[in-house]
Amino acid sequence: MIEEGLISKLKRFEFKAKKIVEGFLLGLHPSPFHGYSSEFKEHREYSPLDEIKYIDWKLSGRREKIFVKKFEEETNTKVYILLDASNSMDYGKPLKKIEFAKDVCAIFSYLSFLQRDAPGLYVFSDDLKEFFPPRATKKQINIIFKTLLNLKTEGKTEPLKIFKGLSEIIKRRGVIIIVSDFLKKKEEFLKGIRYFKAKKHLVIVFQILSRDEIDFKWKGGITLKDMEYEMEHKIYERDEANYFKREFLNYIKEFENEVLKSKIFFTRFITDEDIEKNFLNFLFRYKKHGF
Amino acid sequence: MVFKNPIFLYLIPLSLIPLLLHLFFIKFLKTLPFPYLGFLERKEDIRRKRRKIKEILILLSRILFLFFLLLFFSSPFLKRKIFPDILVKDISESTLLYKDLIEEKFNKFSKITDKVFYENFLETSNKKGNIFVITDGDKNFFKKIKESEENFFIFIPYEKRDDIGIYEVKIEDEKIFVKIYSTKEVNDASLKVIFDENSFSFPLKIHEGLNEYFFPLKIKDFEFLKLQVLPLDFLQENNFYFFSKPKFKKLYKIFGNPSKYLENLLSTLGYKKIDEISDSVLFIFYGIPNERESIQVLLNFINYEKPCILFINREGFFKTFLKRDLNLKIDDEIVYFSKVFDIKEGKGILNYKGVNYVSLFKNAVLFGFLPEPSYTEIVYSPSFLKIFKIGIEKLKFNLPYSLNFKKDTFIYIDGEYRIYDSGKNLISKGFDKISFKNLNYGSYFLKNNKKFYLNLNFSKEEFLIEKIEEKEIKDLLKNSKIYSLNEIEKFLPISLRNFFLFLSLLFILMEILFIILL
Repeated sequence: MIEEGLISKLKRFEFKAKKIVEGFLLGLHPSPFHGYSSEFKEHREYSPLDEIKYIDWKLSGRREKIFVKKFEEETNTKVYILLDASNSMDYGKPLKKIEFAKDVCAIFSYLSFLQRDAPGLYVFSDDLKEFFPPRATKKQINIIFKTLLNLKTEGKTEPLKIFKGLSEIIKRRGVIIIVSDFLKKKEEFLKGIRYFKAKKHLVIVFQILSRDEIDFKWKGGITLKDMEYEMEHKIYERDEANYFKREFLNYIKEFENEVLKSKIFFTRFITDEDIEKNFLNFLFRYKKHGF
Repeated sequence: MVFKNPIFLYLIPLSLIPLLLHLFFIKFLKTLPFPYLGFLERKEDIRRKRRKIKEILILLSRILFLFFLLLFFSSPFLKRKIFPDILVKDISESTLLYKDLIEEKFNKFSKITDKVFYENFLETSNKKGNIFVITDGDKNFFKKIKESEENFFIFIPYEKRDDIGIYEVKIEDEKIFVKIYSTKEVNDASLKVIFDENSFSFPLKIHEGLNEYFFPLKIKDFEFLKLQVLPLDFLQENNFYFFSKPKFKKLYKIFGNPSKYLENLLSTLGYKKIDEISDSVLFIFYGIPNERESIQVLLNFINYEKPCILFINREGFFKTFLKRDLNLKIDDEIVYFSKVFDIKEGKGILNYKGVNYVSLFKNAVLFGFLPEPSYTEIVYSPSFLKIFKIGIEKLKFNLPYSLNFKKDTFIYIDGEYRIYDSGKNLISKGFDKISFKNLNYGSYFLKNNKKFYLNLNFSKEEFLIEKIEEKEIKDLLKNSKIYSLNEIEKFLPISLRNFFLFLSLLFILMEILFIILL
């Protein structure tokens, strides 16, 4: 039984995702992820409906006929959406990071679905909280949306453990989309991400941050309490606040550099920015540069 | 360490206020969640240590700043082995000759203790302890000391001057005979003769022991005469009031304790305050108000607009002495009065601006300012005696003048002593010698339930001679220790006030530096 309120929420959610995705699709018809998860199976003779990019020119040259590559699964690319729902995501005003992250996940799911790819959702914090392996069905989208709607943050982030486990479970190549604030020892995240990379997955990293975090302002003495760990940091003076801000920005910059160095697509979203604009930017940027 | 203002010591716990504020601040620091603080871990240890050190240093600086500031306010000083529980200052004119020297020492004491008293302390207080006295060696002072059982440390502000002094003076046949005693030979000395506003000096060669001299004195009419013997090396000081105090000095004392002139005058007349005096009574002040207390009496009458006359028959003296030396601003009327006032053949005549004031004279009270003798070796005031005699015999003034007989003072009067009752009837007269005991100025005898006031009449030659020998002084002071004034430094406590102020400022400066640099 789904409550009526929930249904309307779900519809709004879906509408938001649709709006962005369709806007994107007006300019780009093909799936941006197509072909990554598909394993080559055999060649077959070219028919006019086939896309030119799948023509095997070497073979066609040798055989004097045009052959195209045939993939084992021609239909679906598996899109694994990994959402961090740890406590640190429950931060930000007016929009919390987790809410923003949910939107991102929903948009990706919907986009994948429309492209006949198979979206799957993996919610994690210190453990794998929810997981819905990729399926290219409308039902799957509904499940993902409902899950996202009801999702609450809890626990600490344990990326290394989770990513390692997932990389062992996910046998076939696909697209791994990680949505998180990546606020944890960055080495753990990087190491975890590299497990996916080693398995030849396409990894896309979405860092969601709040404006309060990156633009930390001093308004008198405060004690900052870590939302996941038993840590405190006292700030008495403006200088200390500036130092804190500087160190935080350094930290996320270093993380970004490390990610990019590993040839992983990195995008940072700030919760007070326009999600539509940013998301479309991301898609165009992705389409243009790709990996 | 001893403290002048120990009350501030009770406030010392307040210097912990910065610590309490700090703890309060930490305890009630607003706590905000933040997603992740792990990124600080690398540098935080060093930074935290550094910040902790900074915090402690600043906190310590603040605490010490307040601590030393409170110590500064509590006026701490290091006590010497012998410390004055009480410091007594002789404020007689003669001691004030050394005003600058004494004030300097006093100021040092007054910064660290408020137990500083004037000489009347010796009469009124029964405080115990070490009593430091700064005096030029007035006999009365020594007598007061004798009466006490305290430990006295006497500081006398002269050293070289105690070897020469006048022993005896006589005036006969227009000559002044002077006996001078010296403990050593002085080749270049000078005898200074001061009569009213005039003075002249005779060069002297003084041998060790007793020397006798005589000098011509042709001036007959003068208010007072004062003689001083001065070694020439002191002349350059040009100190009019120079007072030499030989070891074997004869102390001539006429009237004592001028500080109670006004009080005594009023109480004798049965008044408590000056404004109780009826305006129909005319006060005639005769003589020269050459002491602060005498002047104070006069000024009080002028300020309260009580009818009074200052009788000075020498205008020059008024100009040079009252105006120039004392900076006394007296209404011109006083001068006019003195010009026109005269006594002829037993009648007081006072004409001022066409008004005859004889009628007022009937109710007049004569108040005589006699020169304070402690700095004056010999005082003659013949014209005063003249008017005094006339006043008594002819005008029958009620005469509560400035006498103050001290306890145990032996007074020899070669003259006449009279006792009048309150109805101004003469009761008795004609004593050659009298010893007054427990008498003060304004004292009276009671006989048949009547008050008998004391009046005196003097011969021209001598008012009063009182002798005190060195031996007697030594006996008086046998339980005391005598030092020169400079030696008082040895007993001066070492004030730590400025040191603590310096520390206090140092720590506030350090705090600023810590804030800026760390």
